[in-house]
Amino acid sequence: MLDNRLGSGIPLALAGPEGLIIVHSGEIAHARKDGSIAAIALLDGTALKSLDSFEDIKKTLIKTGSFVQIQRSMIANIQNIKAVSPLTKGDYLLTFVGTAPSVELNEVYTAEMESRLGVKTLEHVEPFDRPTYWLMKENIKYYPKSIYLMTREELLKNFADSAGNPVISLLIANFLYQFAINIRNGTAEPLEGGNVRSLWYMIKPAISKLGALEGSDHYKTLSEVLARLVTHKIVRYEEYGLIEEENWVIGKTNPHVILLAEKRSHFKFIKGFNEQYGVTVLAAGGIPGMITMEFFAEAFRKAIPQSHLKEIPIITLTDYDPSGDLIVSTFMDNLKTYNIPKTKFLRLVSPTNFTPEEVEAYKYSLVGDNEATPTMVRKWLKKTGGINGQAYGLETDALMITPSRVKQLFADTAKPYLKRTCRRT
Amino acid sequence: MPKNPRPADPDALYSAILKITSPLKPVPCQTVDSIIFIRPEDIAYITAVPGGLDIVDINNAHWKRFDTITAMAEKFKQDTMFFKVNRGEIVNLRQVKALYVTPTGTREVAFRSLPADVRVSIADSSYPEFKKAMGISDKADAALDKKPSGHKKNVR
Repeated sequence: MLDNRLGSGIPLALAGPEGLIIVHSGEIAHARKDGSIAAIALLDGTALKSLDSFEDIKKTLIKTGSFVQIQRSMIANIQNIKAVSPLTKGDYLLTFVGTAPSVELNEVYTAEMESRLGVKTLEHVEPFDRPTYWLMKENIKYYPKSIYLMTREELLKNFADSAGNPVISLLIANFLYQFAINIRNGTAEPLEGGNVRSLWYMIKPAISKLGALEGSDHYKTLSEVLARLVTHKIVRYEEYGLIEEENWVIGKTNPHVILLAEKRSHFKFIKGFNEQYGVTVLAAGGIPGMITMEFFAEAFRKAIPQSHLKEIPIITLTDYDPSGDLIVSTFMDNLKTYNIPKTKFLRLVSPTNFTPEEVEAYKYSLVGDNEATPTMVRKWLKKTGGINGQAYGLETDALMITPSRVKQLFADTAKPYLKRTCRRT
Repeated sequence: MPKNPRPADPDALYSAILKITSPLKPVPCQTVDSIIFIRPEDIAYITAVPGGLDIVDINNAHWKRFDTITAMAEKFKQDTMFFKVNRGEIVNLRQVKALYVTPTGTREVAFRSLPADVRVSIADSSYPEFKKAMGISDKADAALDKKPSGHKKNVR
C-alpha cells in the first residue's frame, strides 16, 4: 500500500514518437491488449503503446501488487480507482483519478476487486442505510438554518432547478425533514394536536416569498411528500405531534383478524363486530391515508404477538370492482411498510355470496366507470373473473341491504381464524 | 550532509512516513449512483450528520457514509494522524493549519486547503492529547490563551 502512495512502484518503458518514454506504474490507470502489444492509459489522459507483449506487461504490472484483472484482456491500477458505479448485468464502471477514460469491470472479476478494495460489495457502501440513501437521491439534506426563515435568495439558492426556477416539492421535502430532525434534537417542538394543514401553514410563507402560491395545490404536494417520507421511514406523523381521526379499533380477543370496510359510513356497523368477536376493524374511507396507516399499524403491532403476525386475515367489506381491490391491495402494501407482511385477502362482497337473481339485479357495468381505467378493469377481470367473465361489479351496499347476511358471512369467514368468540348475539 | 549517515531506525522511519501517507485503504463513500473512494490523506475532517457521517475532503466536498463516529474512529485507529477531537468529529492532523481560541474559550482548528471559516472545535478533554500530537509547547499554548481570535464557533 505504502509503495504506491510513495511512488515507489516500477518504471516501464513504452513507445514514444522519438524513442522510449519511461512512465511510473503509479501513473497508469489501466492497460489492455491491443493486437500483440498493450495499450496503456495514463492518469493524465495520455494513451501510449508498449513495445512488449500485453502478457509481459501484465505480468510485470501484476507483480507490483497494485494491478488487478478487470476484463479478459485488461488490467487496472486499483490504487487509482476513484469511483465504482453499478451497470446492468452485474458489470461495473470504473472511474479513475485524473482524466483517464472509464472502463468496465466484468462481473467475473468482481469478487477479486471487492477483496482488493476491502469492501463487501460494489453495489453500495457498508454499512448501508436505505432511508438515508433515499434522502440523498431525493436531494434532501439537513439545513442548519430554518427553511421557513430563509430569505428569497437563500430559498432560490437551495431549492431551484438548473434554470433557476423554484422546485416547491424539494423545498417542502427539506422543510419536513428539517422540522422532524429539529423536533428529535429538541430545537423545535411538536405541534401537539395539529394536523397536516398545520405543517402547510408553517411553510406557506416561504412558498409565498418565491411567488409560487398561485397555480398549483401545494398543500396537496405537502401531503404527498409527507406520505413518501413516511413510507421511506424517514419521518413519522406521530413525531410531528399530529392527530389522526381514528376510524379504527384494535380488537381485544382476536386483534389479528381485520375487518376492513371501504366506506367510512360503515364504521358504526363494523364496530359491532369488534364488540362481538374482539376483531380489529377499520373503515378506510377509500384508500387509507398514510397517517391512518402509521397510527393503525403501530397500535396493531402492539396488540399482536409476533407469532400471530404469520398470517393476518383481512376480511373486506369493499366493492367487488377494481377500485375496491385497489383499496385492499394498497392497505396490504402499506401494512408491509410497517413490517406486517403476511396478510390474506378474504372478500365478503363476491358474486358467490348472492343468488343468481340478486347478481343480475345488483350488477353494474365497469365499462366507462369513472373510477377505474380500462387497464385496471382488464387486470381485475383476469384476476377475479368479474361476473360470469364479464366486466361487471357489485357495490358493497348490495350486501348491506341485508345486514344479517353480512353478519353471517363474516362469522363463517372469520371462524377458522378466531381464537374464541366473546359472545354470540 | 554527514559523510557516514547512521542507519535509520525503522520505527522512526515508518512513523515519519505515516505523517505524509496513510496506511489505510481509500475510504468508500456513497454517492447517488456510485461508490467513491477517498484517499485518507485527502480527508480534512469527518463530522456526524443526521443519518451518518460526512467525510469532508481537502476540496471541501462532503461525502456520505452511514457509520457512527465511534465506528469510524475504530476503523481509523491504525492511522494515528486521525484524531477524534470531540464527540462528533474526527480531524486529519495532516491537514490542520491553525489553532484558535474563541472569545468563549473554545479551541478550534482550521485546515490547510479549506476556507478559513471552516473550523472544528476541540473538546477540553481531547485537548491535552491533541496538543501533544501537534507538538504544541506549554509556552505556545499559554500564548494562544491570551489571543482570542474572535471567530464564531464551528461556522461552516
